[in-house]
Amino acid sequence: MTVIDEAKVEALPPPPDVRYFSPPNLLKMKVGDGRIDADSIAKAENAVLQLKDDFLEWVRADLERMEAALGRARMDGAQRKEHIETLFAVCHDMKGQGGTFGYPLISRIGHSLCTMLERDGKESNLKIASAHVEAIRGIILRNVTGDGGAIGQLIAEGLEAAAFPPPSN
Amino acid sequence: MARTYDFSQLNVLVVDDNKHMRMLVAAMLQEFGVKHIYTAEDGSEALAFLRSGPMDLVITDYMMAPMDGIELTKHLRNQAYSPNPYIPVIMMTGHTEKQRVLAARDAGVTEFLAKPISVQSLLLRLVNCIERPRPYVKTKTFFGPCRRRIKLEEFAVIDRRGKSPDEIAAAEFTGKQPQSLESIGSMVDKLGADGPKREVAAT
Repeated sequence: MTVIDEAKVEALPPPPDVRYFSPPNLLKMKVGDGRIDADSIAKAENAVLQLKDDFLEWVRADLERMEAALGRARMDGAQRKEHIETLFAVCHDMKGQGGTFGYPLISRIGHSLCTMLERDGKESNLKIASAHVEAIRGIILRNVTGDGGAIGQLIAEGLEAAAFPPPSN
Repeated sequence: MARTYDFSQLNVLVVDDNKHMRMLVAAMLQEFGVKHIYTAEDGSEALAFLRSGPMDLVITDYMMAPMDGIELTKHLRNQAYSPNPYIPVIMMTGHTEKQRVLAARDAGVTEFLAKPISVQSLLLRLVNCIERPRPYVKTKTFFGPCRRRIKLEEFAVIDRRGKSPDEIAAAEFTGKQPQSLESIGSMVDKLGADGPKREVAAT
């Protein structure tokens, strides 16, 4: 993790060809002084909860798209790059939403798959990609919320180790 | 009684190629009291919206086609015909690699919002835009909110520059328990059978 020493950075003098200025704060002028009340926050949290059932529907459709892209990547070597890109794009969306709706294990496994696909491109190992997709399928079918417990953690670690094996000496 | 923000007059544009993300962000904003929420599927559609009427805030995804969030932000900040070069831009991203975060920062985004998003994380960025606007900077090569206050550590960024793919993976995924794919498959069959799970909130 990169940590920036903000105090040191702020203390640096600006170069001579740099111009700073503060435009009027139009947002502040429109919304006024204050804060967001707890009731609105609770309502927003509730709105997310209301979308949870929809999320399960979306994610099932996305799962089918991922499985289809994976199948095509296996069968169609000439277009493999495009199918891997589709797999990546769908997985990236799923990864970005899982945690919001209480399925962080989807996000974690999605992150492992996306990172592997991005690193390896069309040379990605499709068996390992398939194992990720199967795990996501299991989470969705069994409605596994949270971190998935001990088994969920073992699965995620196993997939991460498969996708990123330690370099052999 | 403490005063609360009045978001009813705000015009907010949500840009994401995924309709579910657009729905999610719009649902949150609506409960905050935002009444004028517009949506676009990519940067070029967003620019058309921005040219058609006054907008106060843009919340955009990073990766979209044909025009992504970086290009959209660059257009807004740098083009002579920009509809609003000062508009606050909150960029949602599932990409946490340093290169990508730096590219967004250098395009001129105001705030980053890491996916998966939550009510609290969206709110925090919104309040930052209202209460802690960064001064703008003009140099020979950059125009946009001052980049000094972007906190890269909030993204747990991984520095990919000058590193091999193996080194990158090692930085993030070391020490994981190796398993055969077959044993992972058999564990998947047992998912959900080992009692209550720890809930992990999106931050």
